[in-house]
Amino acid sequence: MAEVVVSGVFKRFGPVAALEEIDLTVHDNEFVVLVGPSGSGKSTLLRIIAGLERQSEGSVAIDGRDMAGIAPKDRDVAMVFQSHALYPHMNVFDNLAFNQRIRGVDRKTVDRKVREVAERLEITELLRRRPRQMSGGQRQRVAIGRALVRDPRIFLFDEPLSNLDAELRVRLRTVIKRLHQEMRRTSVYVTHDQVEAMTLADRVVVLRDGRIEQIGAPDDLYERPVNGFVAGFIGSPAMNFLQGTAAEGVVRIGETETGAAGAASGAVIVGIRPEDLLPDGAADRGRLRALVTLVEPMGADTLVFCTTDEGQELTVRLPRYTAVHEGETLALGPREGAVHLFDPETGQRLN
Amino acid sequence: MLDSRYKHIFLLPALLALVAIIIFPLIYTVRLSLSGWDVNFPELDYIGWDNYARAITDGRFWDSMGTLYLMVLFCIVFEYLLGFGLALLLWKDVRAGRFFRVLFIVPMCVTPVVMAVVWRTIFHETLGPLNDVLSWFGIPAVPWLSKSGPAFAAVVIIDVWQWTSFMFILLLAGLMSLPREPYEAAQIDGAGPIRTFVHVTFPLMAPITLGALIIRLIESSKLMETIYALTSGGPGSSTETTSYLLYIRGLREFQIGYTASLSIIYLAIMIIALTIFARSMSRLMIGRQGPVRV
Repeated sequence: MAEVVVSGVFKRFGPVAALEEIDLTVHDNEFVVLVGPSGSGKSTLLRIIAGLERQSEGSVAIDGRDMAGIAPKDRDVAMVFQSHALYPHMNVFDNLAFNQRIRGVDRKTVDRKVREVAERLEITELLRRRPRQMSGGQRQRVAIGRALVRDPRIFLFDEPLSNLDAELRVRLRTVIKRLHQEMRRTSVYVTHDQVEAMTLADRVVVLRDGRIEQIGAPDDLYERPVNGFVAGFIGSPAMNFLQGTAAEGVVRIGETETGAAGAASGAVIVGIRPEDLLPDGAADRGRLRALVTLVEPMGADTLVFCTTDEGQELTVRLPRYTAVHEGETLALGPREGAVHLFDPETGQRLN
Repeated sequence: MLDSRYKHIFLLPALLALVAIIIFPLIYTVRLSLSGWDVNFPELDYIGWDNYARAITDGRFWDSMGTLYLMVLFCIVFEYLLGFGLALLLWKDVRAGRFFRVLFIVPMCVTPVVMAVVWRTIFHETLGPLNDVLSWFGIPAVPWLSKSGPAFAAVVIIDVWQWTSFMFILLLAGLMSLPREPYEAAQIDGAGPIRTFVHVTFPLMAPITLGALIIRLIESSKLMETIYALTSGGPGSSTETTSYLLYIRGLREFQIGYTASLSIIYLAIMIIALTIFARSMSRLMIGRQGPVRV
């Protein structure tokens, strides 16, 4: 059992506010991902939960117990760092065992725990190696192992995959997800990579400039972003934003009309995901004429970059084997019900 | 594309300078060491390996080598311990650190001969302030410069005084460049200050420490000016280092050929000793694989 309740947390570094009024509850066994661009305060929030940083205002409670004045080591948390942060002169075994030894756990138990974890992470053959004799991926596995041996109430991850190459990142992401499914331990995970956030999280917390923009399940965030920032941040390639006008349930983008729910009227920002722009025939009504400027075949699908007659840039995700070439003109229409409307001033969702 | 010969032409001046400054003197010294050039016969004749044979049986030369290494050992150990200690003290507090960092550079900037003269006054047996201060605590006057043990200590004290700051600055810079995350990991693991030092600070500092020790080792092996001004190698030959003996043989007695052979032997021993030292230290401190890969 472990529930983290962050309430009314502010963090200031001199005159700079890194976090403003953060309220967040991480439920027992939940995997929560904090995501945001750099400088959004996500790492600071994690470090406050860990006790490595002290908040200027507000409180952090774990299992109903206020954590004020409680040292990191007494919070029963384990943390995995971006730079693995292994002890350089110790071999893997000693790195994994270090915390248990400090806590005076007897040798046999430590030995058993370390071997169990090593087996689980498939690093048994590395136990005698030192950190620098291993690859980045292996080191990060060991760093995760070090947290597992602790068997803590809460796992904290501070961008653990950011230093790895793309392929390893995907592999270790799966490892982390599987571990969480097996162990069901409360986890807080920081990343700037929205793909990681979407794939790992039970709930995603999107931060910007020290404030929480939206909290929700990955699908919620993708399908109903509360504002333009979240809409643009979640999803890759990013959502297309077009200028339009709305009146009586109809949205006009240049010469094109499309139906959209909501009572918005006047100038709006129309958000359409790349996969929700359909070429000839597939769209229900309305056509956006766009000149294809670049085609990127991705294998599973093809990304098409184009410019509308009004000069707005669009990204379209088309199924694979779509025969589209630079210089062609596409007639695009948004999928029914997949249009997001945002207020051009505040960026808030309108429909 | 430029003709690749151009680059060689542009490199030529640097190469010539290198030859003139390093390679020619070295080769010339080797040639000199095979000659009997001295004050009576200033000629570049050829006497084969005679000088080397003589050097091998020259007890004073080998004694000076022993004195040098003992001195270097004491100097470096004290400089390292003091320098690292000070660096650890001033590591966290940046404001005071800035003041002390500047203060600590001062000894390094002073010419060794000047400092040796000042220290000679301080160490003076009857007129020096040091023995005066010691007498307040009831310690009898120490014959600093006239007895071999204290004279040896005096040289070490001056070197430590002058070069601890170098260690300090190098190690402090190293400490300040250490990553934050291993410390946080240790904090979460519950390691106290001593464990953190042993398992985080010390191993992370190993490459920098090694570099600092090697630089100091090379530097202090040339110990000469301090001895020249302070003890002249005395009393007897108790503080006579190799460089000082080379100075006596070469520039006082003008046994140019013989001195050349001594310096070649000295150079060879230095290279071998440094290589062994660097290898074994890096194995000891960093492990078998050599420098840390990030």
